[in-house]
Amino acid sequence: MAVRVTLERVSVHYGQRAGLRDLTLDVPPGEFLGVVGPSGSGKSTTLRVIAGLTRITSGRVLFDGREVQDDRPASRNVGMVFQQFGLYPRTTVKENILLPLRARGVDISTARKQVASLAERIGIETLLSRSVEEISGGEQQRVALARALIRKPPLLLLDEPLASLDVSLRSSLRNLFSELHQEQGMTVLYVTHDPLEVALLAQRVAVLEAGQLVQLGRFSELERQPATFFIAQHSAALPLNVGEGILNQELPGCWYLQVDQERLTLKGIPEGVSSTCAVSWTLNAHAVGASPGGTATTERIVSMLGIRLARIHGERSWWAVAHDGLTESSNAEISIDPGAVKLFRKDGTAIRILDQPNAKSR
Amino acid sequence: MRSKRFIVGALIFVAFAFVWFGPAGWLALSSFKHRIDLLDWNVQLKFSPTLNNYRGAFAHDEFGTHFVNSMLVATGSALAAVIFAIPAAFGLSLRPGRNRLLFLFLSARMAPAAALALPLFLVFRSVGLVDTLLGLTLAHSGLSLGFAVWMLKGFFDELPQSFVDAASVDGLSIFMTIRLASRAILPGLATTVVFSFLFSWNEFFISMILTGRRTSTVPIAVLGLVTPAGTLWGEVAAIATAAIIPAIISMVLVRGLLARGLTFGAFREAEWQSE
Amino acid sequence: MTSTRTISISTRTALGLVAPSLAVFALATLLPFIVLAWMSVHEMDLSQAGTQANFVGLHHYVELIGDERFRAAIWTTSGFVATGLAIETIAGCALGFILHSFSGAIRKLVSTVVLIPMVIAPVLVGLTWLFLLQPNYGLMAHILAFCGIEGTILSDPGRALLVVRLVDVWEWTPFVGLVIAAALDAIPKTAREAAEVDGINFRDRIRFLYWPATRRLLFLVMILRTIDTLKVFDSVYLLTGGGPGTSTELISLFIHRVAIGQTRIGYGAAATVLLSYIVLGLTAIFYRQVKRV
Repeated sequence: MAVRVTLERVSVHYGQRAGLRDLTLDVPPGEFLGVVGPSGSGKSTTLRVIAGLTRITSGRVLFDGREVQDDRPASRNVGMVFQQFGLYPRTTVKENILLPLRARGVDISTARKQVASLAERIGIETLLSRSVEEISGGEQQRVALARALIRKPPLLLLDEPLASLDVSLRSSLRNLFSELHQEQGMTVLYVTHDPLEVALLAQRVAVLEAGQLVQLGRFSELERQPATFFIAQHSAALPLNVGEGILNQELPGCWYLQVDQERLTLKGIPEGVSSTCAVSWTLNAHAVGASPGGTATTERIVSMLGIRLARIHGERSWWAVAHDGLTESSNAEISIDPGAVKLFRKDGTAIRILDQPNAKSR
Repeated sequence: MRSKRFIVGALIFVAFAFVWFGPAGWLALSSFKHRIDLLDWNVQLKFSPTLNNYRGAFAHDEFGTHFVNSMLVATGSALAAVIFAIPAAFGLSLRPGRNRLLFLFLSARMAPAAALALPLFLVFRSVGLVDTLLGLTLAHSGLSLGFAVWMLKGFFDELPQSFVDAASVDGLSIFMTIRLASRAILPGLATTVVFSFLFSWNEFFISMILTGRRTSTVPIAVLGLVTPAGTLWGEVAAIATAAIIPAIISMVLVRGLLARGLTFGAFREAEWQSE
Repeated sequence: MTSTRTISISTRTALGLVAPSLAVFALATLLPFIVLAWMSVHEMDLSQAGTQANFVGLHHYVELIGDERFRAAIWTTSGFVATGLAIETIAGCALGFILHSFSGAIRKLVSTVVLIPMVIAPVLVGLTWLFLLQPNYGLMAHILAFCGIEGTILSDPGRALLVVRLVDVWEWTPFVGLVIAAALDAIPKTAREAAEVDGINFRDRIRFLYWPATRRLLFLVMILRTIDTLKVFDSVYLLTGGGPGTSTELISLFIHRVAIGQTRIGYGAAATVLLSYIVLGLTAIFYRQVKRV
C-alpha cells in the first residue's frame, strides 16, 4: 500500500521569512526519496507540510491526485518519525504504540495483537511493558518507528531519525528502514544531513536550498553532475579537494583554470561564461594522483573504502590517490586529471562544461 | 583546601540556620514547655517536655475544627484551581502569542488583599456565602487559578515539539493529548498543587473577612488568641507550630519533586529545529 | 518570553480550552475590581453590607486627601518600602553571592533553611516575632536586654517601626538571595573560568561579569518586592496592629481600621482603589521588564 505524493508550487511563509518557495515535487508510489540540504533549506518544513503540521501559504499538496492541504494530520494517514523521537513521556512502550490504534477506535484485543506482532518484527517485543524513559536511544527510535507503522500507513515520513543516535547504532536501524520498505512497499520520504544514509537508502534524492528544489535525481547523478557547490561537497564519499581559482580563456575555445601556480586546461567550454571570472572548484580525490619525487611532502597515508589515499602538502594541500612507491614523509608530485574538475560560480551554482567536438587539448 | 571550604560552609550553615530557622525553631521548642518553664530563663533547653499545650489547644481552642477547616479549604481550592488551570495552561502553551492574556492571569497575585476581600465580602453577603467553607474555597480557588495557569503553562512549555506533533499525526483527540501531557509533567503538576495549597493555607486577610466563628481557619484562630488581656503563649506556640508543619512538609515535597527533574530524560536533547 | 512552538492547535480549540478558566478568573478577580470601584463611591456600613448603600460620588476620595491619618499612612508606608528595599537588595545580593559560591549538599542544605521564612504564613511570622519580643517570654527581648536595650520594644513607636521593617526584611531577603544566586548560576562556566585565568580583580569582575548577569533580574525582583511590600498586612497586623498609636500604620492597616474597625467599607474601598492604582502602575512596569528578559 503506497501513495503518490505531489507538491505543486507549494510556498510556506513565516511572516517575512520564506520556508518553502514554489516547491514542486512528485514522488511516485513506493519510492524511497531522500531529502537533503543545508540547515534552513526547508527539509523539515517539507515533511511537516506533507504531514499537515504546517500550513501552506499557497500551492497544492496531493495524495494520489487528491488535494489534502486542508486536511488535518490525523486524516492523512501518515506515519512520522521525529529526530527527538516524540514518544509520549511517562508511558510504556506498549501504550505508545497502541495509542494511534485506540485513537481510531480499534478494539483493544485486536490492537494488542497488532502491537505484539509489529514489536516482534522491529525487535522490541521484550520492551513492551517498560517505560519509554528507561530504554536506550536506539530502542526509543525503534519504538517511534513502530508507532509510526502500526497503522500501516501508505506514506512514511522520517525527519533525521538517526541524528540523535550514536554512530554505532545507526547501521542496524538503517538496515531496518531498508527492510521494512522492501516488505511493506510504502512511500518513504527521508530527511537527513548524512550523505552516507542517502547513498545507502534512497532511490532518488531531492536537494533543497533556501526553500527551493535544486536538484532531483539518483545519488550517482548528484555525484557526477552536482548542481551546486553544496551538493558537490555532500555527495562525495571520499575526501574532496576544494578551492578557489580563476577561469580564463587563453585562446578562443580553449579555457583553463588557474589554481595558484597550476594551470588546468579544461576539456571543453564552460557554459554561460564569457570572460575571466572567479570560481570555486571541487576535485575528487580519485582525480588527483600522488607519485614519489617532486617538491611536495606526504604528510600521511590512509586507507579509505579500499583505496590508499595520501595527504599531500605543497603549495596547497591535496587529498590524492597514493601511487606505488609513495610513503609517508617522502617527497611527492601531484598530477591532476583536469576533466574531473567541477566548477561553481560564486553563488554556488554549477558551471557545466560542454564537450566541443573539435576541442584540441594542449 | 577541601576541608577549609567545608568548615566555612558549615559555619555559614549554622549562622543562617540560627537566623532563619532559629525563630521558628524556638517557637516550636516553646510549644513543648510547661507554662512555668516559658517564663523561667534558667530553664532554656533542659526542660521536661509536655504536650499540655497541644492538648489545651484542642480542648478549649477548638483547634481541631480550625485545622480541619484549613485543610478542607486548602486542599479543595488547590485541586479546583489546578483542574481548571490544566486546559487553559495547555491551550496557552500550544497557541502562544497572547502574552497579555498570560499576564492577566498572573495579575491576581499582584492585587492588594483588600481589593479582593472587600468586594467579595459584599457579593458573598448577598448570596449568603459568608462564613461558609464553600465560599472561602471558591474565593481561594479563583485566586489560585491565575498563578496555577502561569505555572502549568511553564511546565507544558517544556514538552518537546515532537510530542505535540506526534499526537497530531497519530490522530489523538485533544482530551487524550491533554491527559498524556498532564501525565508527562506530573512532578510539575504536583508542584503546582502544593503551591496552591500553601497559598490557601497561609492566606489571612481574605479568610479573616470571609469567615466567622464557625469556619475560622488556623491563621484566624491564632489571631483570636492573642489578646491584650493576656495570651496563653504555650498554646499559641503549639497552634502556630502545628500550622507551620504543613508548610515545611510542602516545601520539602516541592524540592524533592523539582529535583527529580522536570526534564524528559532522553527527550530533552537539543530541540534542533533542523530544516 | 518567545516561544519556539510552531502552532499546533487551532485558535478555536485554544479559545475553547482557555475560556472556562478565563471566565472563572474574571469572576474571581475582575468582577471584584468593578465592585470595589462601585463600593468606593458609596457610603456603606459593614454590618448592613448588601442592603444599604448611599451614593456619595467622589466624596470619599476628597476625604482621603484631607485625612491626616491617611497621609501619615502613605508616609509611613513609603519609608517602610524604601528602607526595606534598600536592605533587602544589599543583603540579598550578599546572600545570593554566598549561596552561589557553594554547591552540592551544602548549597541544598543552606537554601532549604533559607526558604523557611517564605513558606511560613506571614501572619505566623508576625506571631513568631511577637513571641520573641515578649518582655517575659521572648528570647529576642532577653538577648536585647543582654545587649543593653531595655524596655518593651513594641510599645515604643520608633522601635516598633524598626522592628516591623526588620521582620519584613528577615522574611524576604532570602527570596532576593535565591533569585540572585540563580542569576549568578546562569553565568556560563567558561566565562567565569576565563575571568579566573585572566586574573581579573573583584571589582572588575563585578562590573563585567556579575552585574550584567544579574542586572535585569535584580530590577525585576526589586519591582516585585516593592509591590509586595506595599501590600504587607498580615505580619504587621499581628505584630503591632498599627500601633503604638499610628507609628506602624501602613496603608493596608489604615484600610483595615477604616473598613472593619470603623465599619466604613465604602471609605475603605476608596483607599483600596488608590492603593490598587499604585500597585497596578508598578505591575505594568514589571510586565514590560519581564517581556524584555
